[in-house]
Amino acid sequence: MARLIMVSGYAVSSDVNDGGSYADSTYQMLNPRTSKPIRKFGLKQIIAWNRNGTVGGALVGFGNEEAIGAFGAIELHDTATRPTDNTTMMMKIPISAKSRIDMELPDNGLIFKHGIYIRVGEEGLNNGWVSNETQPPSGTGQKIDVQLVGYEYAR
Amino acid sequence: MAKIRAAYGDWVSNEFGAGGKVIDPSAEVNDTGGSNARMTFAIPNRCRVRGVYLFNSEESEEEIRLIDANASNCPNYAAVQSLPRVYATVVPRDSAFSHRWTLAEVFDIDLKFDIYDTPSGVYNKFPKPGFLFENGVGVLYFGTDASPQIHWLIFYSE
Repeated sequence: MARLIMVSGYAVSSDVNDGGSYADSTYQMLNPRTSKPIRKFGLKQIIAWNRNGTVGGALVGFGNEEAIGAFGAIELHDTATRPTDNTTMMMKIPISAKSRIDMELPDNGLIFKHGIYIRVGEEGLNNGWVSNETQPPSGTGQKIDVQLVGYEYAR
Repeated sequence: MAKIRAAYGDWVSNEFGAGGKVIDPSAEVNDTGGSNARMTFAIPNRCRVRGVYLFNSEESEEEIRLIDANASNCPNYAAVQSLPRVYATVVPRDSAFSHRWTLAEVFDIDLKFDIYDTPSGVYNKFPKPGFLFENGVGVLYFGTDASPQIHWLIFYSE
């Protein structure tokens, strides 16, 4: 019997090419009832919000360099352990700054057997993370929040 | 009910995958006919495409086509013209505002901002059974940028 659930989490910009690591920017999706890692999940709907970016305008120049027109790519990995490369990646979804996506998958959706880690992409897809930052930003500015709706199948 | 799979890729990171497997970055038509056209073999086998999400962060809107092709029947760019163009659409650019004012030809002021809660890209979900690709799916771009900031996510069944 399948149960419809929503799992939520967020990932923060990083870049393994610039001193960051996969661990910096990954998050494991947990079952909302048991707080255990989700497994055997049929992903049916993806909702995501990219917090990065600015509204109301920003002057560029005069020492101001806001992350304008940026986008980030959220990766979904099918793995029970923290991903170390792209071999477990199932999909990669670019999301514009200060915007959301709401995407429904066809049929019963996409099956994740082992578990779900989300991650923000690397160089060029890292949501505006600049290379002179030695650590991912600790604030909320470059987070991508993700809600996954789908069916949890009995173990 | 057919099992749904996903294929993803972009020409920014040059990472491609389909059905949970990484696709070699060289899975691409090498000869671009002297232009900056690019075509990557995003799905290497027969399939039915059920949905497409395309994202474009180039400076202008871009046309993207899905061609019924694989590395065998499409060895060069000239061959693309004779292959079925199963799907094509124009993808608007990423939503942001930018404008430059030049004051007295002395200095410039740039004003830029992201447009709030305005999803970029296009997502099309197709009726059953989806578009049939006999040989595989090639994602084709023939714009002006050698490394176009174009991304795709394709939902398909085999």
